[in-house]
Amino acid sequence: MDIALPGNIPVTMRVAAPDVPRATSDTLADAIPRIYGYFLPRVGGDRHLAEDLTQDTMLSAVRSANTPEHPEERMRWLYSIARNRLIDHYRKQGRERTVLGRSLDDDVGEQPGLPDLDLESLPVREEVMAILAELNPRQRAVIVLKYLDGLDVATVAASLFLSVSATESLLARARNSFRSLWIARNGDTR
Amino acid sequence: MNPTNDKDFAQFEGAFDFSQAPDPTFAEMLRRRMDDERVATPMQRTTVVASPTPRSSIPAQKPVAVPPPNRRPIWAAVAVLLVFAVVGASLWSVRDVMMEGQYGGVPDVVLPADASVTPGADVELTSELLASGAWLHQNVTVVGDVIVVSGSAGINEDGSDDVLIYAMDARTGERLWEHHGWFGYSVVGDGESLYLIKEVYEWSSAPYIEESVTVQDEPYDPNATQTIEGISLLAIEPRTGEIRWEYEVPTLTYSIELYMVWTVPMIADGVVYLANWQSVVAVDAADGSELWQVNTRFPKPESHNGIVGLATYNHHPVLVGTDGYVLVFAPESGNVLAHHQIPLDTYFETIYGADVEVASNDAGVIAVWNVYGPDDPQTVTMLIDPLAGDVQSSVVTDSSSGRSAFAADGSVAFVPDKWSQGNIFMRILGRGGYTNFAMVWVDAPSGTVRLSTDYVRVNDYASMVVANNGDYACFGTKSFDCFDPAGTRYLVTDAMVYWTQIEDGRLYYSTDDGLFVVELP
Repeated sequence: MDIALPGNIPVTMRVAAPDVPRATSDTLADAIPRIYGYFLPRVGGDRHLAEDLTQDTMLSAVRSANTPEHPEERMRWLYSIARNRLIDHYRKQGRERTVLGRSLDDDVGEQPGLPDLDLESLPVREEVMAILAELNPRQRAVIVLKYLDGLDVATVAASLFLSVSATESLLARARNSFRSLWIARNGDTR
Repeated sequence: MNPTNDKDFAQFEGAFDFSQAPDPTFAEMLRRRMDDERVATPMQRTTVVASPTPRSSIPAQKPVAVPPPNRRPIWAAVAVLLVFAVVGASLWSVRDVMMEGQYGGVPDVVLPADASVTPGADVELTSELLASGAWLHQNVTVVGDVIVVSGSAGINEDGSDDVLIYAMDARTGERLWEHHGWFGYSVVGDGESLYLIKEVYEWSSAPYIEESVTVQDEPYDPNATQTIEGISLLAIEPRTGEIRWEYEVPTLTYSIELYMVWTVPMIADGVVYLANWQSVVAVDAADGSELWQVNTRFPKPESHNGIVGLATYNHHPVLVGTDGYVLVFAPESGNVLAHHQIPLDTYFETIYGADVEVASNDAGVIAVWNVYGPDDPQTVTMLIDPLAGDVQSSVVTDSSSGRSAFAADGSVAFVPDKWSQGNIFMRILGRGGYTNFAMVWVDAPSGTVRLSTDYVRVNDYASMVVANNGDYACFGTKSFDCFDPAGTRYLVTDAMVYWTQIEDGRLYYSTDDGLFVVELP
């Protein structure tokens, strides 16, 4: 009984893996505050969630056989694992939101732009985190990946299983929601 | 401010990459766990040998009654036992939840997710690293003797994003060709050509989006529409990357509240079919000329999911929509030969949404509907005669998490999930809980459940699932494993798997460390 399956064609590939040292917790544990600091704003300041994601990231790193030796390379590698964990978290949130029902997208009109913010200031950063926490999960995901992490839209789209066009549309609505929430909490401070 | 302007958001980049000390108790506990892992984790396998090695089975996790410390008063011992009983019951209660409401009978094999049904029958496989690096952000497809990858390669000199699609030789890893400036996905092949969706990508760091998407009628209006245009169907020579033809896909206009996408292209009898909720198009695979284009006549979806599935049955293209809609077209003209709405055997509310995935074989079309209602979502797997509208078999199970793997023997594997509230301590501490995953393997022709596993907690969303010709179904929980129909478990990797595909007996997968392949025995 044959079945119609796309792309079901034989493939052969063999490349030997490099012989690299595995992770040691002595060198990795020092990175906990940086990884935790990466997650905290990206999950809207939810400390428990940031701790869970930090734990998953660090334990995955310890189990890995491919830990870079150079400290800067190692940190980039840890950040890449952390971003993967974050995207998986967003994907899961996207599904939960689908199950819950209708879109929670904004119903706000055109909003004025954000003022220039002093992001060195902790209260300002916390205000941004609080607004991120108020956005719906899909909007928070695209704002974080596009603007906090600096990913291009195509990568954001691929990460969230969206088309590029849908991602651009979602970004436009997310920016408008963010601006609306900023004004609601802080007034028009331009 | 124009919603397409993002200049004010550019100030966020790099402003949130600071170090922050977590709670000291959490940090200390994590350090200890990392030390424990370092002692417990064996060296990762990196050799090129793929012969299976029998190993002893891993016993299923069970609630453990921990004895109280010695020389403590009896009331303290009782308290400790009570606490562990409560915690244990809460932690493991999810293991009792299995296949509620199924119509297909008891599964042939029910086994814990981390042990074979036959003790001692676990087989450990050895993976090979194909390419290092993080692959989560890339679209990867193995087609024939090439691996097609699409994603971002960084930033161009002018500040725009360098989006590209490229192909690697599947045997040597050699870069065969690449195209910059557009994004390619939904890749399929027929041995002669690759067929894929091309989406021109014109975003840059400039403040205004180019005109690939238009949001009309500002301020926000739920009746507003959005338009997706500039999408093409491409035929590419697999080894050289030469574009053989390009077909401009019709503009898609739909309510801003809906989620509507084009299906993955389907190839049958020299014709490439493409569909969405509104329309079906047929394109000549030889030269890219449009053969016909028809309206689906589906009613507007009540939820925001305008998902459809496309299959072929007895040379006829068949379109399956959510809510049980089935349309059969004449391949030469696009005329509608049959139009049915199949009852889905389960209660759901269309307003909550549904989605559908389909495949087909000689016996009929296999449709997997995920339907959501006010209670737990469910998955309905059906074998349908689309011309007559008859249901040959129907199995209702716990809901798939949205990815189904169709095997060549007409079986379907998918991964249900269940939310667990966590134990009493987690609830006191305000923790939300976690998701548990299982695998269900349904034999669609007979309408029975071939195999299912227990639910297991997964730290993240590692619910990838894949199957081949019916010999194996594989999925990821705490580890990524394959099962045969008898319940023997094949251990692939302990790492989290983000993407997977089986081609000609080889299982490809990506993790945080790179792209791997393992040969299935």
